[in-house]
Amino acid sequence: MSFSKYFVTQLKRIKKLFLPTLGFFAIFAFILGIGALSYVKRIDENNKKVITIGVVGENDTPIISGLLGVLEKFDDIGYTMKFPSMTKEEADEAFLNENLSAYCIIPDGFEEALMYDRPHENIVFVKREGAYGLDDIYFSDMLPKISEVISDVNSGVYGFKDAFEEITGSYDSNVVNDLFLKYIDHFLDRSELVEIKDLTKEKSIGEMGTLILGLSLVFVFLFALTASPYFIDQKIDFLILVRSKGLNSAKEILAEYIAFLVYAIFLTALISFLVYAVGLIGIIRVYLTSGFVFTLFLICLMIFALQFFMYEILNGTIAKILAQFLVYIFMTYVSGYFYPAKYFPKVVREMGRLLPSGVALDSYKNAFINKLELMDFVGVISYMVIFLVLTIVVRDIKLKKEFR
Amino acid sequence: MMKTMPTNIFVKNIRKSYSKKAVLRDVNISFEEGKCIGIIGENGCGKTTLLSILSGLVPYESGEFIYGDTDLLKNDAKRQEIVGYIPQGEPLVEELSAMDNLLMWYEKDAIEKSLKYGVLGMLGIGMFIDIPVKKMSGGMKKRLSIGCGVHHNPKLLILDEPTAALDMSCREKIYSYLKDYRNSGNTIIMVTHEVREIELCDEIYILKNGEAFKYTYDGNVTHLVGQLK
Repeated sequence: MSFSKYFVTQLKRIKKLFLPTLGFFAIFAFILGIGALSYVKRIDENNKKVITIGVVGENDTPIISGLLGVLEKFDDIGYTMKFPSMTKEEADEAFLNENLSAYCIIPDGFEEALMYDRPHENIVFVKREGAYGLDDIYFSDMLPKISEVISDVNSGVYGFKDAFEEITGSYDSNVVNDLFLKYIDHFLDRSELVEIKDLTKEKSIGEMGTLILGLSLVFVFLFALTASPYFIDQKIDFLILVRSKGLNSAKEILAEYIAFLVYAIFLTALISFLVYAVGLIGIIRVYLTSGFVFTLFLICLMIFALQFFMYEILNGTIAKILAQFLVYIFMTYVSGYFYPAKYFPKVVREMGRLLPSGVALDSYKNAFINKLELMDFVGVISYMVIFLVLTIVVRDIKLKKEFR
Repeated sequence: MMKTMPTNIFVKNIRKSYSKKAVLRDVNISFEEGKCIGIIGENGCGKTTLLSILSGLVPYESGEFIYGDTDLLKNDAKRQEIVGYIPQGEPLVEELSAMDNLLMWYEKDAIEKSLKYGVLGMLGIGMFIDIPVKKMSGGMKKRLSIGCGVHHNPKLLILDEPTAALDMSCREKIYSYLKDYRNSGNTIIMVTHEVREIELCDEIYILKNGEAFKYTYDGNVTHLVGQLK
């Protein structure tokens, strides 16, 4: 039998998986839809999400504390904002543990320098991308409100001036007036005051982002279950006949795996759509880059390689499906797909990171925030190759054992 | 019982052990082309192992399978051309139709031709050509398996219990095909437990203690069973 005929046969078998997979996808989409409705309802009920931004340094001066107080009391931007005061160390720890969405460092003497038009260090705003769409809040919602405050202050200054003139008949406090105007000028020109430091790569995408991405990868693992008939229906006698016609294990597995590329493309499209839909609902910000889709495709292939290996090494239909399900659930749980891994003991965290599921999640997260590196692919591809080689070895042993 | 003398097809000195336990010690069988050879023996005596060695599926320790002047165990291309192997189960792709299964082995034109005038027609495969294997009866599957196994018109067919667990009508179809195949000058080696298949054979070999002994079957089943132990 030729490699090409065997490959075409495997493609025909793969074609049979598309319909059940779509059915499975419809069920998941339904569950996801219910989840999304609950999410939207919860937002409606609470009307706000809480964004906590730590403030390090000089924050007890009149203007800054006043400004933060005003922002905390805003009720028309759709978010509740909190600005706890803390030290740099506390802010770093809270940021690392994802208890803060961001933090800002206000240099000592900042406000005074503004008041007297002296040189000053910039405010440093430390943030990460992803969770809760902080960028959206910061740039789209918060800054216009700050501008609004400043405009109000501006109006207040002139209102005060008018009132003063009306009461006293004259207003000659030019020093105070100039100070107010300079302050406004500086504040409106935000780029001179604030330096934004993005710690997206050094840290993570946040708990919610990790959870959403983890769950979308769980779908990939679970979707792989719909491919089980492909493995179960392949009878050993068929492989014996194929072997008698000169096709060896390596060629068989390769033909089967290449045929699976088609299924991996199909699954990648479905999961990408799912992640995009989550973005549309507004739970996390989603950029469907080619890097993200390609990484997802590679992860699908790695998961299938693992599936090839598991189905080759195990015997019995129920044992195979059950083992696949349990192994996938265990791996994804330990790697923090369902529950933040930071709460696990160190040894479990380390194990979860090194497992195929952990390697997949790391690459997936980096692809999501567009910070892919070569090593992200190396881990996934290495696991894929290892599983395939093991599958070839096991099939060879298995076929030889058949004749005992 | 006596050890056989070689003619033009030889199975010589086949040896095979599993975990130091010798299953085939020194198997020698010889016969002429165009014969049907039956191999019988108790369960676990190494019948399937012998067939799988002759089909090139399992490594062996020593031995030869001479067809004419070629050792088929050392010449894979020649063996694949001459030998057709039908394993005991159904070597089929369950979720595909009979046609899709046949397309793995035949060209489309050859299938249509064979359904009209050839082996596929003789096996009655045209009756269930579009049915998925999953929905086929045991007899249909077995006939389709044979159809797949003989796609290249092999001169020597190796079968492992070809009619086990089939109904009478299906058995008769397969016997009829095997007779026709042999009468066309081709050779059959088959492992069997069925009296009806034994009657079809020109020569019978009993596999016992890792060796093959020629046996002349005279219709006395009780005597035959006694020889197996």
